[in-house]
Amino acid sequence: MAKKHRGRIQAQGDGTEKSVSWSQDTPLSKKQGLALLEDLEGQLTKKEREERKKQLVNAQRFIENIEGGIDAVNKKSFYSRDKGNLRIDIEVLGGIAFICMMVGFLLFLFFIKS
Amino acid sequence: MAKLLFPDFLDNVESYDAAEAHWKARFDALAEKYHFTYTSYINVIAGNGKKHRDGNPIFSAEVKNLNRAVRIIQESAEQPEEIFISAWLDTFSIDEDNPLNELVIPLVLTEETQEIAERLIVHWLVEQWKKEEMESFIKEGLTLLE
Repeated sequence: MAKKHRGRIQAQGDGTEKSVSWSQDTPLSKKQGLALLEDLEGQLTKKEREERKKQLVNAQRFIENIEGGIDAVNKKSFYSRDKGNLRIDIEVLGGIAFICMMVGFLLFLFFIKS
Repeated sequence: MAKLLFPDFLDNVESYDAAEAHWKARFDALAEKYHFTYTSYINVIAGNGKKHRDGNPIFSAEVKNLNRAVRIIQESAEQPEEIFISAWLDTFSIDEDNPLNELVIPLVLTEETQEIAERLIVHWLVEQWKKEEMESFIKEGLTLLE
């Protein structure tokens, strides 16, 4: 059975198609989201990473600064204006993502009790 | 000279909502003219009940019977009189067995970029160009603007 909270972060464009995903019973926290983004960055070659340096920073800032989390279904693209196809996409396919730990803990308690 | 539409949309809630309504009105007009129906597929309301007003995306439309969609990302201008529009095709696995085929259009909104965006939308949703045709048009057509 599919987990309630799921999604994917992808690096795409110019022949690159690498991704990390999550699928879990509790909402994805900002900390987990940032760790996934770091995992994705680790998958990229030096060239792929350099080409998406700004997009990776923008995706990181987005996760850090988002208030209230992202409810599914949502998709955010961080791209280069010069080379639009070089990008980082964040897809929230189910549930909630990028909530702060305290909210996550309260939601966890809510799910346990309900 | 490029006249920016809703230039303060990222700084002003009323302006943002007006820009969003503008896209809906333009899309409604296209839907009526070309006889298709669409639904939004991106949830712009955050978990805390507030609307995401970052323009990423400002508008989304899915035409279910075609399994095709359009996602518009609106940006503020980095320089005065700037013309910026880009596009790419992507898939979105909302349904893993049948991924949604997306046309994504990031732009700085002017009358000119609006017109180009609508031309792309018509090719994609109405004339149902193949992926290769769209990519070729995007590569050749939008490069001319640079």
